[in-house]
This record gives sequence, structure tokens and C-alpha cells, in this order.
Amino acid sequence: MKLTYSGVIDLLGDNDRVFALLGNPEFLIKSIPDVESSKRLDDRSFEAVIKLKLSIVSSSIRTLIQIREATKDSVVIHASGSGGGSSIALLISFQRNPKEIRWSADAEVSGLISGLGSSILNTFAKRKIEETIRSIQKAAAIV
Amino acid sequence: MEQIFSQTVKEVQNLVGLSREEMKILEDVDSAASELLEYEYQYYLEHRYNEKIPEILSKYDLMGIPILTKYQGRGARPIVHALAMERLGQVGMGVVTFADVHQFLGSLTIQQWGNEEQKQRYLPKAAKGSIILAFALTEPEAGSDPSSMLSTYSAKDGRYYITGSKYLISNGSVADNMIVFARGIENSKEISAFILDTKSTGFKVEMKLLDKPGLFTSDTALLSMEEVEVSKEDLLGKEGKGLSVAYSALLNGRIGIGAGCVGVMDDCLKQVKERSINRVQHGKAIAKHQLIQKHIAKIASELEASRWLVYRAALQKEKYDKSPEDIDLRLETDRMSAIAKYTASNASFDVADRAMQIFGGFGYNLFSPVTRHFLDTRVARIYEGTDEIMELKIASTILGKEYEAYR
Repeated sequence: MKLTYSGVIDLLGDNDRVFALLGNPEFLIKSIPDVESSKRLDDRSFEAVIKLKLSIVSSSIRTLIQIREATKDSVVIHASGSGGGSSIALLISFQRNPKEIRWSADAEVSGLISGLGSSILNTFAKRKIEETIRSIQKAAAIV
Repeated sequence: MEQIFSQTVKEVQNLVGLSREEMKILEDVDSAASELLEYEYQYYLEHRYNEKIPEILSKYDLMGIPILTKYQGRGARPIVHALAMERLGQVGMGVVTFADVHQFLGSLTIQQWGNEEQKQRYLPKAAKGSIILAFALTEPEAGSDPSSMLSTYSAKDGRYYITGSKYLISNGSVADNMIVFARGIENSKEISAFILDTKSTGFKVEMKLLDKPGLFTSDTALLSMEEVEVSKEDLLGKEGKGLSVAYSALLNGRIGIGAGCVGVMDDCLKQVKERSINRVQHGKAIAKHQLIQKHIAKIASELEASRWLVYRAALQKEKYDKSPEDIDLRLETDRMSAIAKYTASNASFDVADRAMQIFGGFGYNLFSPVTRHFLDTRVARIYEGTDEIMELKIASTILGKEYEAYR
């Protein structure tokens, strides 16, 4: 099942720093929620085991995450993984604007998770993406 | 706005026109519904009351949608309120039940029957979400026939004292105040309505009813009252006119339930479209199988038939609200709201069943989004007027009062 999402996050002036960290694998991996373990593969990619708990799907998903583009105005990340009878592939683009970060994502899900329907999946995905950005924002405040 | 809802709002806008403020209410409802969805699903899976409903509805100023602005509500007319309930129905009947009881059966009844002092005391708090309302009519031995209720009240030293049980009361264990009905001890033919404070001595939540086959996110309780004191100021309407209060409240509530069921069908249609296009069997999407298309055609037809009946009932209610003394308008409103509720509740149950069928093995699973609707809509054929009472009511409005079978 193909899904598309989009959103806008107002970072109240932290945009530049957050955006710079978003393209940094070290910070990105620390900011993704529910990561159980991770291994850096090269400058732009790493493997992570992510605990996914959403209704019937409650398992550890081995996920390959690649930063495909990281410029001062745009970051593109691809993630794909499978586990617990479900597979997920996600391509997410972040665009830096003066006052906010706009993001859009295309996902393809199959197996058990697809039976939950787009309404539930959209809400869940949106919340997790926003949690990731907020977590990077927190890290940016410390750096 | 959610896609189906946005289309619906446009159609209604073309038909009756919606003001900027009415559009704002619907945008707020859409935002609240989006925020509620994940919680509603999670609480459903955990089989517990969704306490986020009042919190999120209050956040978007949606606890008093039909209440006049002078009492701090949004002042929405029935068609706007029906649209709002439809959008909440897309999230689930648990949300609809909470909102219907709090707003239609609770605050709207106080707005309609209360004196000015009661309206000032309760409506702003209810509209802002600082109190939750319930409606306690049904008893273990009095369901479709409320006139056989056993709860009693006595009057002493300028106060009333209520004793009895109330059963299957939505919002029953979470309400701060509830409209309670009881029969006079001195004149047993007189049933009166009261606004009761649930913190009063003698009021007790006997049991939270958790073993329901659906509607897990809605609070349902068995209540007992032992000489619960109510002041004279909390008599709602005239003494002895309680059944008129109850029946008018149910008339309002039925449009809300019908609208919620339309929302359920919206969501079922969306879910089956998505599922049937993405699910491949026998080498092609099941959407290409004609027997699946038959289900989808039936779902879409039942949805549209119910939708416009609910809107028709809401528009009829708007007319009646402008001339509440007009008996003919009242009868027609009663008839239309019964037809709308009867049709939409049965259609939504059938639609959810067909949606489960399209989902196949995944549908026979509590996790499936359409199965939730299947379990939740069954009660809509029972509460706020069973199928059978709706049938009798509809038939008697056609045949005439002398043919009322339940008299």
C-alpha cells in the first residue's frame, strides 16, 4: 500500500541548527524514537533495530537508513525494513524555510501493517516524524 | 480537511450556505477528529474509556457546539452540528456517544427546558468542558418504556430526594452533573426531570459496564441513588413534565447518532477502497473482482441514502427550532429524526459488516479498523430508541395517533 504524508514544523527560530543536524547521521540516529541498537555503515548510512509498536505490529524492525541528500536547504532520507510480518519503505524529504521545516514522505507498506489502513498509519507516522525533529531540536539546544 | 468530509461540507455549503463561523467550527472539528483518531484506536484496543475525548474537544472549543454563544457555546444550527457529528463518527462511535450525550441529551436539553438561572449555572461550564453531563433515563426494568420507571422522588422542606437505579448510562461514571428522571411518590403518574450533582451524598456508581461487545471507549455505568438531595432550583422543566423533557432530548439525540453513523460509513468506504485496491488475490487487486465491487456499491448507496436523510432531519429540526409551538412541525421533526436514526444505524451496521467481509481474514480481528466500527455500531440500533420503537414511531406518524402501538 502506498501512502503519502506531509507536514510543517515550526521550530521557533531553531531552523538552521536543527536542519544542519538532521543531515548528520550521529544526531539523526540518536533522535529517531525507539531505536534499540544501531550500527554505522558509512558516512551516509546506518542500520538500526527499531522497536515498532502499533496495534497488531509489535516487533523489532531491522532498518537500513540512508541520508540520500543533505544540502543547506534540503535533506532526503530513505529508510526500509521488515519484521513481524510487515515491510516498510519510506522516502522522506525535508525543506528548510525561513520560519519552519516542511516535510513530505512517500511510504510503501505491506503485510500485516497495511491492514491497519492509512488513517491510523498516517497519524502514527506523522507523530514519529515530529518526535524525531523535536528530539533533534533538543539536541541542537544542547550543542 | 479530511477528504470525504471536505467534499461533504462543500455539498452542504452549496445546498444551504455556511457562514464563516460555521466553517470555522467544522475546521475545528476536523482538527479535533484528526487528533483523536490515534487515541480512540489505542483506547479501543485497551478496552477502556477514552478520557482524551473531553480534553481534545475542549481544546478546540467543541464541548458546546449547539449551545448559544451567550452561554459560551458555538451556537451551531442542527445541520452544522450534524456535520460535526459525522466527522466525529469517522473517528468512532465512542466519540460520537460522548459528544451526543454531553451536548444533545445534556446541555441542549438544559438550554431547551431550563430556566435562565439554570442555563447560566450549567451551560457555560458544559460548553467550556469544565463539567461533563450525562442523561439518566434508562433503568434495569425500564428501557423502551420509560414511563414504567421505578426511581422515585419525594419533596420535603423545599427540597427533593431521589431514590432508584439507572442503567446503561453513557458518561455515567465520569459526569459531574446528570439529568435524572424519577416518579413522584405522592403522585406516581408524575415523572419529573432534575439536574443532579454526582458528588451528592447517596449517589453511587455501582458498576462500570465493561463487558460490552463494543463501544469500549465510551463510559457506561450502572448508578444507584439513595435519597439523593436535589434543590428546588434543580428541577428541570415543570414538575410532572419529565417525559416531555426526555422525549425532546431523544429527538435531538437521534439526529446526532444518525450523523455519527454516517461518519462511520464514510470511514468504512474509505477503508474498503484502500484495502481492495491494495490487496492482491488471484493475480489482481480484489477491487477488480465483481463481487467485491457489489459490496462497495452497496456501501456507497447506503451511505448516501443515510447521509441525506440525516441532513433532511437536521434541516427539519432547524425549522422546528424557529417555531417550537408548531405541533405539525414537531411531529414531522420527530418522524424525520426517527427515520434518519433508524436508517443510518442499520445501514452503518450493514456497511461495517460488508467492510469486514472485504477485509477477509484480517477483518475478523479486533485490530482491523473496520471491525471496530462493526462492534461499535451495533448499539446504535438499540440506544436512544431501539429499531422497533423507531419503526412504531414512524408508522404511527403515518397512520395517526390512534394507531400508536406502544400506548
